[in-house]
Formats: sequence, C-alpha cells, structure tokens
Amino acid sequence: MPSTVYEQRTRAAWRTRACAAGIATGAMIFSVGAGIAVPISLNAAQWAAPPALALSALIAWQAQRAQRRGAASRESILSRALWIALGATLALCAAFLACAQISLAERTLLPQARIYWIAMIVVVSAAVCARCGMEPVCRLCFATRYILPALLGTLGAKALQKGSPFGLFPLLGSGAGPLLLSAVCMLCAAAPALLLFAPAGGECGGPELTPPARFFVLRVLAGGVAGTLLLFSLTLCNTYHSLLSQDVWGERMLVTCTHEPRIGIPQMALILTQMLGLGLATAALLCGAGRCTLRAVKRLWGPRASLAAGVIPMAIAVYAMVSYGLDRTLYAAPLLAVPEIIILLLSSFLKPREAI
Amino acid sequence: MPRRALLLSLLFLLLPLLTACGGGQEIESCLFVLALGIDPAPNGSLTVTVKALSGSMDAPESGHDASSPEISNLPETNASSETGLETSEPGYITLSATATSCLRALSLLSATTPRTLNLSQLREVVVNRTLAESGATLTLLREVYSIFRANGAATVVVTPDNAGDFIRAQHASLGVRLSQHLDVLFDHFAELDTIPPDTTLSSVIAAMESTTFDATAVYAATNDFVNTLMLAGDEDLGRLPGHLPRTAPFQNEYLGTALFSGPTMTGVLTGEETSLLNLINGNSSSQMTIIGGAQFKVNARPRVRRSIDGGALRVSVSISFTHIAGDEEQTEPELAAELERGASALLARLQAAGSDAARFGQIAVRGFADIPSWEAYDWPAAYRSAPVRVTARVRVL
Amino acid sequence: MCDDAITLMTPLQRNLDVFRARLGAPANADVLLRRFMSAGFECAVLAIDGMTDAKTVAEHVIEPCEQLPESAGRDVPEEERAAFLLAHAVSVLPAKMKDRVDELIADALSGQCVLLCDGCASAAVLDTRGFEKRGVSRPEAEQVVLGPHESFTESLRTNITLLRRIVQREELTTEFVSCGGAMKTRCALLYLRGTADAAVADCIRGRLEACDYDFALTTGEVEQLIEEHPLSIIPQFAHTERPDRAASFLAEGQVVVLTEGSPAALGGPCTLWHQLHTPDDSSMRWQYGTFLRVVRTLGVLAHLLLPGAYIAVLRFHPQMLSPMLLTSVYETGARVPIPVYLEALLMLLAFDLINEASLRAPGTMGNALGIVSGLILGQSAVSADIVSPLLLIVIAASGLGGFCVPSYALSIGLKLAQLLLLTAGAVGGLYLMGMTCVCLLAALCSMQTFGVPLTAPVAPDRPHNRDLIVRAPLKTQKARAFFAKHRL
Repeated sequence: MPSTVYEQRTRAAWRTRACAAGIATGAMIFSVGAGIAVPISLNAAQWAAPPALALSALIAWQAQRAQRRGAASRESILSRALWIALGATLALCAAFLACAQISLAERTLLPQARIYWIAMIVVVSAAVCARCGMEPVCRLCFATRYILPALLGTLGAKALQKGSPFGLFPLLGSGAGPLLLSAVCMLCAAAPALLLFAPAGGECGGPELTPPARFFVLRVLAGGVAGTLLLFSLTLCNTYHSLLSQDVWGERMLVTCTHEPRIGIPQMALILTQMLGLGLATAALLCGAGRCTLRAVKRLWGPRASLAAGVIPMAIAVYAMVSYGLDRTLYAAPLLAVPEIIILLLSSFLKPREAI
Repeated sequence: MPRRALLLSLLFLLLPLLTACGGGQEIESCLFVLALGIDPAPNGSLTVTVKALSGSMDAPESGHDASSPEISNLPETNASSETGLETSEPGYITLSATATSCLRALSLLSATTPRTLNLSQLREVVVNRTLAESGATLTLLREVYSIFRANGAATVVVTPDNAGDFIRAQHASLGVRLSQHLDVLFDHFAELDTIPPDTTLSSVIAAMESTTFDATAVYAATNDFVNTLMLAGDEDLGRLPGHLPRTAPFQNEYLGTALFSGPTMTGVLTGEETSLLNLINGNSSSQMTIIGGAQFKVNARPRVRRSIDGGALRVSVSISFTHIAGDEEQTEPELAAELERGASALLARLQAAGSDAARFGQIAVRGFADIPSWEAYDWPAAYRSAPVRVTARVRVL
Repeated sequence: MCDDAITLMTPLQRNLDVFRARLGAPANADVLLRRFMSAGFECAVLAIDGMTDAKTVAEHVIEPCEQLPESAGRDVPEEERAAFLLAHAVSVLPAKMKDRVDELIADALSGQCVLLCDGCASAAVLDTRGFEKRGVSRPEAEQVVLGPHESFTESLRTNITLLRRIVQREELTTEFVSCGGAMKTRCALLYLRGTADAAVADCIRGRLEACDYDFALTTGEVEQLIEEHPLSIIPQFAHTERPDRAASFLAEGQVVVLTEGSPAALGGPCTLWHQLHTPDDSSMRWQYGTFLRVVRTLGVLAHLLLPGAYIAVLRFHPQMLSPMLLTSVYETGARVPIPVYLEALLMLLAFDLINEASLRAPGTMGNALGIVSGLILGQSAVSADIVSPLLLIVIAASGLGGFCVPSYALSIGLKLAQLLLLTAGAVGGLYLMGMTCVCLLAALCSMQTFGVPLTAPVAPDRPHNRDLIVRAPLKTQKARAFFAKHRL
C-alpha cells in the first residue's frame, strides 16, 4: 500500500481515538460538575472547570509522548502495575459516567422505572458497544464529533431561549472558598484523557506515525470546552435558590430555565443527546479499560477478554454505587484525581522501560 | 456460532418480559389533569379540585356523591376527607377531594380513581386568594410540582372566588379542546400585556424562593353579571376581574396581577397597571395602545433601562408611537409625564406591598461578589425605602 | 474403470464409452453423440440436446470436417488431429483444447460441444451454446426516471456483454470461476486492472473457489457464501440488476461478480453509502440529486424510528405530545382493546403480509390486492376500533420510508432493525431506543468487507468526493473511491 495512504489511515485512526477522549472528557466535566461543583459553588460551578481542562491538556500531551516512545520489549513490574492502575481508573470513570446516565434517566426519561433496571440497561448497552471493539466505538465518536455539539448547542439554546441570565450573578457563587474546593474536586474530570495512553491497535500504525501533541491536546480541549459550556448552561438561567433545591444529581443535569421548563420535544431531544454523549463516553472508556488491563498481563486482546476485563469491574462499581446511593458515591469521584496525577507523574519521570 | 445466535435470540425474547420494570403505561390508564384548583376548607383542610380528560366524547352521567361511608371509614381520611365526582362537559370530568394537605388530597384522588393521576399536561393551577395571602402557596405549589411532576409551564392563577367553581366554569368555549383553549387564552392575554409574563408554575416557585425578585401570578375571577352595567369612574381595564361590564359565555376573566412578597400575596394590580409593569420590566409586547381618545401603534420594542443609582431605583423608558386613529389630545411631553407619573405610582405601590415584581433585586445583586454577602444585605428593607426616579421619553411619529 | 478415467485416451471408442458411462447414455436421452469421418479418420461430437445450437454444430463443425478430403489428414500426427480440425475446418470462434474428462463433461453440460478424434488424447471444446434465454428487459426492482432501462439477464455471457458495452476499456478483465461442490455454478469476476485492488480480486476469487456448498444457484446464495459477517442484518455487497450501476462499481474500483443463471450483480468492497445511492442521483443535476438523497435519508430514518418513537412516547413520555394530539390519541386509544405495542406489531405484520402477497400474487390479482388490503382492511380495522387511526398513519409513513431504500436487501435488514427499535421503545421508551441505536451504530462501525469499513468514508475518515448525502457537482468529483488502487 502506498505510504501516503497508510499515513492517512493511521492519522484517521488516531483522530477517532482523540475524538473519543475529547467526548469522554467533556462528558466527565459535565457530569462531575453537575454532581459536585453545582451544589458546592451553585451558579459559579463553570469557573471550577478550567483547572480540569488544563490538566486534561497536560495528560493528552504526555500521552502523545508515551505513544511516541512505543512499548518496551520487556515490561517491568512497575509498568504492569501502572497499566492495571490505568485500567482501573478508566473503568471507574466509565462507572461514574454510567451512574450519571442512570441518574439522568431516572429523573427525566424513566421516572417510573426501577433504578436497577435502568442500571442494567446502561451497563448492558455499554458492554454491547464495547463488544464491538475500541476502534468501532472510537469511529462512532468520530462520526458524531460535529453532530453532538451542534445538537447540544441548538437544543440548549432553544431550552434557554426565553430565560434571563440571572444565574451569572453573584459571580463567585457561594464564595471563593467553595469555588476553590469545587475546582479541586473537578480535577478528577480530566481522568478520561488517560484513554489516550491505552495501547494503540494495528490501525494506528507504529510509534513513528503518532501525530504531534497538539493533535491530541486540541481535540481533548474541544471536548472539555463543550462540556464546560454545557455546565454553564445549567446555571445561566436559574436562580441559585433553584440550584439549591435540586437535590438529585440527575435533576441538576437538566438544561432548563425557570421560564420554559416544559418537557417538550426539544427538551427530550436535548436529554437524549446528553445520553448519547454519556453513552459513547462510557463505552469508549470501557474499551480503554479492557485494553489497559490486558496489556498488563501481556496477552493479546481478543474481543471477549477485553470486554470482560472492562465490564466486570465497571458493573461491580455501578452496582455498588446504585446500592449505596448515587449522590453519596458521587462525592467519592474526586478521589479519581489521585491515580490520575500519579500516572501522569510516573509516566513523565520514569524511564521508558518502566513507564507506559 | 449457533449457540451464540441462540443466546442472542433468547436475550431479545427476554426483553418483552422485562416490560414491567420499565414503568411504561398504556395511555388510557392515565388520568390527564388539565386544571387544578386549591381552596381552603374548614378545620384547616384543603379542597383540591381537578378537571381531567375523560377519554370519551359522550356526555357523562350526572351524579354527585359528596361523601361515601366507605371512604369516611378509612383511617387515612378520618372523616375529614371526601371525594366527589361532578358533572362536566363532554370529554372532561371534574373530581375533588378534601384533606389536610394538598399532597394528601391528590394522593386520595389517585387512590380512589381507577386511573393514575398524571399532571404532565397541566395547564392551570388556580389558588384561592385566602390561601395565597396566608403564605401557604409555596408549599402547595412545591408539592404539586415536585412530587406529582406537574407540568412546570402551567399558569398559576389566583382568584378571590372558589377555585373549584372557577375551574368548573372553565369551558372550551373557543376551539374544541380545553387545553388548546387555555393555551390560546393565556397567549392572547399575554400579548395584550394584561397579565404578567412569568407566571408559569416553575418560575413562580423559583421567584418565591428567590431573594432577588418576587413572584407574580395571574389574577382572575368569575364574572357574575347577567346584564350589562355601566359603572362610572374607572376605565374598563382599570377594574379588577369579575367586575367588568360585559357578558359572554366564558365567564372567567383573566386580568391583572397578584403580587407576592416571598410566598405571601400582598397586593393586586389591575390590567392597566399590569401593562405598565410589563413595560417597566421590558416585557411589553402589545403593539397597539389607546391613550386618551387616540390609538397608537408601538413602533419597536420600548427601550427600558433599570438601574440602582446611589440607592435610588431608576427606570428610564424610551418609547416610539405612530398615531393611527382618533384625536391626539396630548403632546409628547404630556404623554411622557403621564407615563412617569403612572410608573412612579406603580413602583410606589409595589414598594408598599413589599413586592419586588420589577426585579430591581437582580440589578442590586450584581454589586455583590458572592451569595453570603448578598444574603447578609437586607435587600427587602433597602427596597422598600429606596427613592424612585422614572424618566420617560415618548416620540410620536 | 471407464468411470475413473481422468484424462482422455487415444482410442475414440474408449473415450465415448467413458462419456456414455458418466452421462448415463443411452438412458439419458439428452446426450448427443455423433460419429463421422473427417480427413480419413473417425471423429465424434458430444453435446447436450437443447443446450447447444444444433444448426451451428451441423454447419460449422460437422459439415466442414466431413468435407475435408482423406488426403488432408494423411500427414497429420494422431495426437494433433483435433487441433488440425480446429485449424482447418471448424469455423466456430470460441474454442479451446482440453484433455481432462471432468472439464469436458462440465463444458458439454454448459452447452458447448466437444470434438473428439480417434487416436487423439485431447479434444476441442467449441462454444456452440444455443439454449433459450430471456431477452434484455427493464429492471424490476431498480426503476429510475432518467438513465438507462436495461437490466441483466440469466445469461452470463449476455451480462458480460452488457457491461463491456458500457466499459470499453482494455483494463477490463473477466475471470471465470466455478463455485460450488456437487453442482458447480459458473461465476465471472470483472474488474479494471490497475484500478481495483488486486488483493480484493484475489480474495473474492479464493472465497468463490473455496465454496463447497452444493447448489449455489443465484447471486444471493453466492453472496451469502463469500460475505464476511453472516450474522449481520446489513448486506455487505452492493446488489444491482442494472448494468449501468455495475459499470459505475467497476469505475469506482470495485470488483463485480456475475453468476450464471442470475440476473443480478454483486459489487464489493462496498460501503453503506453505495447501498443508499441510486443512478438517478447522478443522472440528475446536483441540486435535484441532493434533494432526493435528503428525502431518502429522511425516509430511512422514518422507517427505522417512527413506529418505535410513537410507542415510546405513548407509553413513557405522553407529556411530549401537544394537548390536542394527546386528547385525540387518548380518546381513540381508550376504544382499542389491545395494548399499543401489540397493535403496532399487528399492523407491521399486516403491512408485510400485504407486501409479500403483492409480490407473490400473479398479475392482475396483485393490483386488486393493494386496493383490497389497503382500503378494506385498513379502513375496516379503524372502524372496528381494532387499531387507532394515528397508528395506521405512522405505520404507513414508516412503510413508505422503507420503500425509499434502493437496495431491497438493505430494506429487509432495516425492517428487522425497525422491529428491534419498536420493541426497545415499548420496553424502555426513548431512552432504550437511543441506547439500541448506539449499539446498532457501533456494530455497523465494526463491520468491514475486504478491509474496507462499512461506514467509511465518514468513520473512519477517508478521502472522498462530496457524494454522500449532499451530491456535489460532477465537475468537482475527480477522485475514485478510497479503496481503489489509484484514486485519480
């Protein structure tokens, strides 16, 4: 095959991977922001997102360096442990996004349904998508890279059309202290960018064909910014009292304004679009988790093995969260920042043989 | 491969068996409520009246069962709750229940009606004025909105009459369906600026909870006049609803604003005052207006600027008319002066009622960095005592 | 011993005995064996009655051979007698020399005639096929407004000819491959050398040759034997009965497979977009073509999603309906005795029954069937309150959308997906419908044929002309498909 064609195809494969990471980062920023930042900072939640954006850009940059380095011929114990940690982190991110879906569905689309049934649907859907493999899921993310933000933008604008931006003030919301706390809690929202560390498939070509860092950084940031804007739309046209009275995670994720709260077709379409983004992100992270875990045990991944390695931890985590209470377990999400930063630091400072 | 195909087929076949877990219901098993009314009842109880789709265009059997011994023996009701089925127009039924709270009354209706109560198509929530003035409105509306997932776009109406009778008198006089009739009705009066704009259930609840502005609701009443009476004095639209000199098959009159200070109703505005309030808030949408003996067309949306300057509430209005018909009795400065007088008087009334319906609080909050500092500031007291300055500029083309 | 002969022997009588034994002559009355003298030596012609053109055999094979004088063959070595006759007497153009008994029998069975000579261990195979075949007619399933109205026939040679009339290029290569076990089906692989990827042609050829299915009679069966994802509901080959469309496949760099006895062609590798495009899109100006594609896309989406969305909204999200619509549905729904999901399934089944019956019912009855079923059944069902009128409209609109799909195979596949989405909507509302769509799309993105993803060039990104939904002006479409060997 001519080399230009091969290069185009490998760049296309990397492009799909970077889009998936961008969508996952945006989904995580939105979900964690709605879940944690909004109750703490109220109408200033969106200002807590920039540190997470910066951290995700840093992770994307470091991931490019790691991919460029290529795989070591012999893995050390430390690097295997890092792969397992990476897989577990991605699986937990997938679990959190799955819980976001469950909460949103339970409050809006399926208020009469049993929560375990909704959880089953979410986990099975993610598993079925992940069954298809990482490349197809990334391709689907790539195919929706314009449709998703366009729909979210249009439908969100329609939902807020008759609103007034009284959610802007007071600018600092609950205050500088809570805002800082929100920003720290939201650092975990950069974890999906770790997807870019996942081992590349055959379509992505060799390490020498890895695109430059800005290729990844721009796409991850684009997704993150979209998530931040969506987070902003949650607070823009609602008074802080309305935000205070929203005590369920799923209710906080609804883009409404007090003047036009009707659940009509545009509102339903907006919720479905949000679900689509969350669902794609969950599936992509699940695939990444499976690949990383199996990389640690040095087996060639087949579809079944990858699926099991990702789905089982995610399903257990989802079940635990639903049983213990979605809103309560949400507050454990900031702990994801710990493995995220450790992986980032170790990947930056370890020798190539020991790093991922 | 055959085993995998078999497993997949079994999985798909199992899906319908899980139908019961999804919470889906056949549409005919729901009772869609279009209008809901809340009245005070003896002994601190509440009577909740609902008008719902019956699912049949046949005229219902007439019958009234005010109390049932079976129901009165239930420990839940304790002889203080009653349900009644009323006669109604074809296609609709009216139900009512009395209980110690709105929540329990609606639960009682759900339990005794052979269909699931669904408030997702609610168009109108009518609250009796006595209840509104007692400060119970917020709790009532919250129960309806949050617990029964009512349609947040339903219009909140306050009436001095019995809310249940108000709903019973509400018929689909224009058009075929009551819901369509109500939608068209509220849209029409909103265009005329004779009712306030933000009177949806969710915005009223948000306003009652907010410390930056106060809620307004539509004020309405049933007109009992049989003959046309010419009353001297006030202009026609300067009256409160229920007292307009007119006759029509639709007796309910929606005209004016119920003012709230927090969760408590503190005053009423007439239709004309409501138009002025809408103008001050920048929500004016009427295109025609009659001033003196002349008709004018509003050329463009009036430019309104509200600000707080040195503790004073300032409103600056700039409006452009085109003279359409009649004799112009006033010059532009006279029109502007009249507008200033009217607006100042209106704002003074709002201040006296303690109702920040003009939303100056939303402007005041911009000067504060965070919520604790805003809440530490006693805005209601500052609002009541703030001087008012209104500047108007009128151009007639 | 006669049955086991692999190659021809020199004595003519022994060869004839082998053929008689293998073909069951004289009990098998279709076997024609004619002995005659030519140039001093004995010859024989073997053919199958009805398959071969007797007049051609008589005038161009037997007669010229018999007219050769005895002296003409005196100096001809015995082993070259058949070749001598081919060079000096026989005037049939397509001719080959073969010596394997199996091949000679297969050729005779396909309508060719075999010329045997005494003392010669090889025979001449002459293409004297003359069986009855259908003429070139209009396409049944791929009607167009503009564009040609020819369709393929059951004759492989005719079909190849139809393609060669359009693609008059020296690179156009035809390879014949036999596919099948007990009964071999003759297939032809056509591709443009230098444009199509040779690896794809090799792959298809290999799969055809490796088929051991006994009776692969039609293009559809051949397709099922060589496709990569047999469990998928989406076809992986572009199916067409139009030579102009098959020619466009060739120009794009695809490989076209034709089957003897089947009036259709397969084109591969193909993407999903190939199955959604029609020749009318290119024949018309780009504005009209784009409009038609948009309408077709909306039709496909309506076909897939409308019934499921209707059920989902009624069962789970009635608040989405406008109050007027809700009241109407509420009143009619109250009179229908069956749940709305079963109602929808019944109506879809009725629709499919009507379609199937219309296809199978002969001629005039088929026309009357549409009127009977549509008016009487539909109207009566509504009057009897068995179904609600709104659901009838939804099913009809969805059915119309299904008819917009150019590929019949794809329309059946989409129908299956529609049923799945309908069930998902009834079980879990719009949410489960959405998740099902995502899963189906992920499965679609995972499918590849001959290394080409089905959803390319959208995902993954591949260089392409602007010709997916919006059809750009032809002047701007300069490149071939991304899977062609040379794109320009």
